[in-house]
Order: sequence, then C-alpha cells, then structure tokens
Amino acid sequence: MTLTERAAAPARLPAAGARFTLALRRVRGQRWPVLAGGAVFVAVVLVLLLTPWIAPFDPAAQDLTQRLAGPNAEHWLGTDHLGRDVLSRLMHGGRFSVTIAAITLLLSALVGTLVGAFSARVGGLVDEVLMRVVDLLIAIPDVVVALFLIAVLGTGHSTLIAALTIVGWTPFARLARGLALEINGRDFIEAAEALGCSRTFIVVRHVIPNAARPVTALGFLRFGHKLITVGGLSFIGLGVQPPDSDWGAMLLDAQPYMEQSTLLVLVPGLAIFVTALSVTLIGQGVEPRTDDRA
Amino acid sequence: MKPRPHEPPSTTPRKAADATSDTTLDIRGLRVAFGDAAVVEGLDLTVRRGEILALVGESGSGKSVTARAAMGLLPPGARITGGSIALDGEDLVGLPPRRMDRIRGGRVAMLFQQPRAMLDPTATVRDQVAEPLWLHRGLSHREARRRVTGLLRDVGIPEPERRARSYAYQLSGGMAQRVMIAAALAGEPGLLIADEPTTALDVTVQAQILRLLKRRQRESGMSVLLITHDLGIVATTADRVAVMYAGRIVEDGPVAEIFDAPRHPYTQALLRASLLRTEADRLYTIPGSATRARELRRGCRFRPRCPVAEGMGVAHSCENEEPTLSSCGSGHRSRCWVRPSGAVGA
Repeated sequence: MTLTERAAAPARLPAAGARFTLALRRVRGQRWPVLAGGAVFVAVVLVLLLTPWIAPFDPAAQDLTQRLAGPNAEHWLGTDHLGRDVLSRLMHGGRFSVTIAAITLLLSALVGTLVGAFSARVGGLVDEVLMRVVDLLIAIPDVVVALFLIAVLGTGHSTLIAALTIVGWTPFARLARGLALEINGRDFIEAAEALGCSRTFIVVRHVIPNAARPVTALGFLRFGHKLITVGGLSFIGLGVQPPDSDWGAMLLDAQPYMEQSTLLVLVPGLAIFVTALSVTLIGQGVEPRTDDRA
Repeated sequence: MKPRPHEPPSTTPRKAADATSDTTLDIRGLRVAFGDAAVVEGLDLTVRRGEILALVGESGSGKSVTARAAMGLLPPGARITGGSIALDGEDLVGLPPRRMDRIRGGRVAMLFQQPRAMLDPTATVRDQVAEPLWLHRGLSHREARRRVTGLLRDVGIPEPERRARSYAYQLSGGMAQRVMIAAALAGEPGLLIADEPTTALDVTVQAQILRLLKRRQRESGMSVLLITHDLGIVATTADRVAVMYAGRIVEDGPVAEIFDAPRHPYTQALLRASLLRTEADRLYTIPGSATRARELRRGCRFRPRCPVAEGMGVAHSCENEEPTLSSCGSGHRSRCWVRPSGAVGA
C-alpha cells in the first residue's frame, strides 16, 4: 500500500463482505490487557450461564459428614461448614452477584445519562438543584446510603437493585452533563435545530449518542465497584438473603471458619476480584479514540 | 411591534395583502441586540416568492445574525428587541418554541458554512436526512429511511444507496454540503436560508454546489436567501441583492442594476474592491473599518469611510441625519443623501 493509498483508506466505504475482516482487525488492534480481560469475563459469563447444567452439586445440599473438607476429587474446591459443595455454591452465587451488579449498573447508567443530558439542556434552576443533589449523594459513601434505603425499604432483590441504583446514578449524571454541555455547543446541534428537531429529540438522538463512548467507558470502570458493593452488602447480611446466596454471603458464611479452611474465604474473594478486574480491563478498550472523528 | 428608538420609519410602505401573495419572507425594522449593543438595527428585507436574494456585506455586518433571527436560532445572549419577521404573513417573533420547531425544517430550512461539522459524527447520512421527513411530513420511520436514497440522488450524490450508510468523516466537504442540502430540502421548505454555503469549499466544488442550489430552487419554486461576501457568487447565482453595512441594508435591487449602476458609495467601493473589476494593477481597498460604525449616534453610518460625502457638498446632511432607504429606479433602493443626478435628496 502506498502512502497516498493509505491516506485515502479511511474515506473509503467498507464493502459488505469486509465487515467481518474489519471487526477482526479491531479485535487484533486492542492491547493485550483488554483481550485478557475480555477472555476472562466471557469465560465467567459462560460458566454462570451454564451453571444449572454443569454445577456438580445442588448448592443447598448439605452433607454433614463432609464438613469443611479440603479440595478432593469429589468436591474440587472442598465443602463449607454445612458440607455444601463450594464450587457449586460459587457458580450459583456468581449468578446473583454478577446479575445484580450488571442490572444496577445498567439502570444507574441509563438514569444518570438521561438526568445529566437533560439537566445540561434545560439549564437554570433545575440544573443547579439536580447537580447539588448529585454532589450530596457523591459526598456520602454508597454503602451508607444503601444501608439506609434497605433499612427503610426492607431486604429483597428488587429493593437491593433500587437502592444500588439510587446511589449509583450520580457519577453518570455528572459525566453526561459535562459531555452534554460540550456537545450542545457543537455545530451539528444547531443544524439539527435548523431542521426542526425538538429539544427532547436532540438530546435523545444527537447528544446521548455522542456521549455514549465516554459513558460506556465509565460503565466498565464502575462495574467492579458495583460488584464489590453488592458483595459488601451481602457480607453484612443486607444483600442477597438465604436460602439464596452470592459471593458476599459466602464470605459471611465462611468468616467464622476461616482459620480451619482458608480456601473458604479465598475462593469467593478471588471470584469478586478476578471478575471486577476483567471488566475494568475491558473498559480500557473503550477509551475515546480520536481517529473516529476525522 | 415594539417601539424602535432612533429609527427612521420604513421607507416604502407596502400593502399588507401582498405580504401573503408574492413575498415569502418580510423582515421589517428588525433590531437584534447582544445586551445593550444592537448588531442589527432597523433592518428591512423582503424575499419574494421563487427568487434568490443575495445578502452581502463584510464580516460583522450582521448578515448571519439576521439569518439566525429568521430561523429563531439566535446564539445565547442575543435577543430580538424590535421589529417583525413575517414568513408567509405569519410573524415569527415571539412564537412559542414548539411552534417554531414545526416551522424550522418544514417551512424554512438553513444551510451552513461548515457542512462537515454540521453532520452528527455518530449518525449515518440516512438517519440525518430522514429526520425532517418524519418530523415534518408525517412519514413512518421506515418510509422516511427508504426515501432518503431518492433525495440523495436528487442532489447529485453518486451511489446514493451506499452513501446513505456512511458517516460524516467519510464524506468530503462538498459531499457533506450535498447531504445537508438533501436534509434541508427533505421537508420541502418554501424558504431556504443559505449562510455562506460554499465559503469552506474549494472553488470547483463551490460552482457545483451553487449550480445544484439553483437547479433545486427552480425545480421546487422555493425562495432562497443566500448570504455571502463573494460578489462573484452574487453575479452568477442571485436574482436580487441586498447590501448590508453595520447592521442595516444600505442598498438593494436587481443584480444587474446594482452591478451596472451601484448607487450607494459603499456598494460602489465593494465592487471596486472585488476581483470582478480589475481597474488598475492593484486591488482597491476601502479605507478605515466598520468596527465603530454602530457607535455613531447620528448621521450616516458609512460617512467616516465615505469617499463621496465631502466632494458632493452634502457633508452636513451626512454628519447629522441618517438617510432613509429610498427608491432610485425600478425596485432599486439606496440609503444615501447623494442622488444619481448629484442633487441632494431629502
């Protein structure tokens, strides 16, 4: 390829058949931490999806003759204080942890982005009040606010998700507002206005899509935080309730026995750590790229 | 209409009836201010049905502000403080935003200087051209997207089906302006305001875009308000021309008349300073600058730079009272005390 051909290349339109090749090149162009994070996360998700079929034991089945057993051929990661299979509990628990973290993250991102983008568009007193609310919520640690909400609303999956969304939308709102203020000043917004698009239409069709990349990057960064918050609430007994359990609840169960079986706390702890890390690494691949805007 | 201080009355009162028949846009006594500073003052401008009116003037003369006022898209801080802007007889000043949204893109559309920056980088050409179709013409999402190909073909875009899938960064400036024209015309507006649509394009592309505009204007019978500072564009494209200086119209009339027999000293100077007329071996420049013209409390705003005032013995009038925009030929008006005969008009 000559220099001039290379310079002309980005302006060329991809033929229909070239889509796959382009996608492949995009994957290959990523740095290895992004690929490693992606691979680990895909593996975790696959295992969690297939859990009902591949988990070796019923996670609630007790075998009191086999309490606190170490890893063996039957129980690969040993058993807990009630003789339940740790691997099966890890797989089933992960379904709760990851799903709740993902749902609250999506809701937080959605609510935050909408509030931030509209706040920037409307401006004035509304904007001022909303942003002070955001400041207030950001100043108080998430767990404290979530604790309060759970105390008021009671425990349960939906209240857990609601509480975590209420504490989680603020960083997205702040980011989306900043981005929207910048995007509102760009020329194509004026062009859209000149075509008769209403404010709401412009926010939804033009402002939010242009803010999507940084917001997505923040989403990936916040996933680990969500996963840890869900685990933390379960660990203090306010998250996922028995008979269900997630990784945080497993840590809570394991804590009195950690001297007899270190593995019992190590396994769910590592699961949280590895999953959170993998998603954070993927997020590095979503950083705003300047070459998109020629 | 709000009272207009230090303002001569509009000179040629027309019957209200013809405002709906042969005029598309009728701006009367428009005043636009940033804070206390008026950038446009006492502006009268009429665009007739089916004509291309060129609005010329140097940077800062208020051309773009006038266009944006007509679109209801003034930048933050700017306000219309007087006058009326009638589109097909309906005054747009003070219309509620929702009503204005329906007019923009539907009855009046706009083209801009930087076509590539005017396209949303995250949306495809198809999505953007389809917007006015379903906002203003009530087409379904699917139907609107289907019609885009035809609209792109109408503005001379090769391989419209493929181009419809591309993004702004994949288009050249000329191609992007064609897309913007397609989007602007999608709502079938009666008036197109083109704010220096070819300034950012290179010369050959400029000519193509102007030919396209003219062709589409003839086909649809719409009116065009073409804002430019390039007199070459005026000569080849427009039917009539209005010359703006320091926030008001100083001369207007048919293109041939103005080019052959400019009345106002500013228009004469503009023509001498353009490359259309090479007089001697060097290009004429107008002495002074227009920056302080708006601060003049009284008298003609062009007087400080005017080469004619002193010699004609009307300096006293020029100094003390602003001339009105008055007729000096068929459809030709000029804002100057010096009359063609050399006599001093009143």
